[in-house]
Amino acid sequence: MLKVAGLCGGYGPIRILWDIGLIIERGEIVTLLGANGAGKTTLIRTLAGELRPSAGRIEFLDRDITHMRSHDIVEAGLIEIPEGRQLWGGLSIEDNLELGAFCKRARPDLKASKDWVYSLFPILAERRASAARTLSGGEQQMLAIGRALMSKPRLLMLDEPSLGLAPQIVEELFEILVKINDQNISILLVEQNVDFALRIADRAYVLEHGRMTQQGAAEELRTSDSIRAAYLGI
Amino acid sequence: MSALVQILIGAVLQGSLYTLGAVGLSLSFGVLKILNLSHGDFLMVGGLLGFLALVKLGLNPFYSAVLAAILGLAVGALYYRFLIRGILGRSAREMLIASVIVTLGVSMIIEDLTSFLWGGGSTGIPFQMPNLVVGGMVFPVLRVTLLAIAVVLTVGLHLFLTRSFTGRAIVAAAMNPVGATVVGINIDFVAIVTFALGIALASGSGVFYAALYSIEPFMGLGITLKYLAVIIVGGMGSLLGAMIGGILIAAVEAFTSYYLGAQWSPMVAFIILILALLFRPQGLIGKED
Repeated sequence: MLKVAGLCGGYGPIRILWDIGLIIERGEIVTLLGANGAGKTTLIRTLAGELRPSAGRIEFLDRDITHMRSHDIVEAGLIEIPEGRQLWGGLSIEDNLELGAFCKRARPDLKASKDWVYSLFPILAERRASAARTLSGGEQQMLAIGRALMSKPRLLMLDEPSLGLAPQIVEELFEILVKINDQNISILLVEQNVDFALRIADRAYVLEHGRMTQQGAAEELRTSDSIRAAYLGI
Repeated sequence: MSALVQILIGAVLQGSLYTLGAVGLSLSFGVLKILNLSHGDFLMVGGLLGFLALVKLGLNPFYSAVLAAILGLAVGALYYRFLIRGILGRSAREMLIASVIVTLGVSMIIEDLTSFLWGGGSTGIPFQMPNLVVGGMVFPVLRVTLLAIAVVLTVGLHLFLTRSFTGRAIVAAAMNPVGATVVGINIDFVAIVTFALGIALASGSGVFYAALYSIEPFMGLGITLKYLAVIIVGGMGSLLGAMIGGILIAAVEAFTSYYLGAQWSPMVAFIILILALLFRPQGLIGKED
């Protein structure tokens, strides 16, 4: 469903991504591994239309989205959950979720989407009237995921969702990602928590200094010596 | 006693005019963080349009206000596209400086062009409506109608910003532009709607301003500063705040000119502004955030 070929990009004249190739099939969970500064966030922001690519092609659901702007990309069904979540702290949980259904395609189903998000995250339903900033870190991450789901995405891109969360919360979060994936929503997961990520992913890519250096089945990479040495610390 | 009530009624009616004018300024400042110093000039141009429409075409000010607002919407969109858009998205400090330079330039252009094309004199729209006398109190019908329009517009705008998807997107984009982009809100569209709406409100209310007072080419900046006082006193970016600030300043002005003399009333707004900035900089109903 997502085909990226020869993608180059970065921030203005500063080139960070070099000749990136990436394929995500329908229903897959793909994880993107790489050290800090490898360009993972830059890649996600470029796919989401926040940064302009300087070369290459991005195809999503058989449409060329290379030069689309971010709101059109959300409308097409590709959404990012950014690092740092970017919620509206002063607004209620309910308001945050409803704004997530801003794109035209998602508006008619707002109620159904909200019910689904509340069933995935009962804690959000309980506290629906509270301001988002009163939530714990894990709950805020749940809200960020819920808000993204409100746009009825076909592909969800998560940038470091486990950052700063306690291990048992991370475990819970990953179980929910699998549940979301069961609804035929593909997932691109950028994660420092490599062990967790490789456990739920179907396939994985490794990004180093802005270039894709390895790819393969998650199971394969989990047992590969170089990955174990570099990211699992074994 | 009856004089006191009469002054108060007058102040509420006057305040509604201030509200109408200030709401637009509050929108572009509160949402876009653009300080539009040419706001009052669009009010003046709207008033001039209303005058010409009545004198040349015999058009009632209520119609020409709608016309002026629609024209303001179009001009505001162009103004945004060519002069404001490039300023947005910079640091708060840069944006403030840039918006002051750009909009002050526009203000000067409008003022000089108007005085060149129209002459320097002052003009009022010769439109009268009867006074209504109830229990010894005098209610000027034009002002009462204006109050009703101001209330309806303010409430309508409030509902637009809190209930409609576009309105909520405007508020959301003001609070967190990155979050808004992520959920698929077109920030550029939000900004153009907000700015154009601000200009439209200025131009539309200008027609009523000219029907109640007179307008002249170089009045714009003074009006902008007074409305700035209104929204700062009431609470930045809050529509209710604009209404409370408008009525408060109008009331103090009315009492000042009654007890001290009319020549003191123009400075009242600025004294209140200074007091507000000293003791309650977030405005009467603004949050500290």
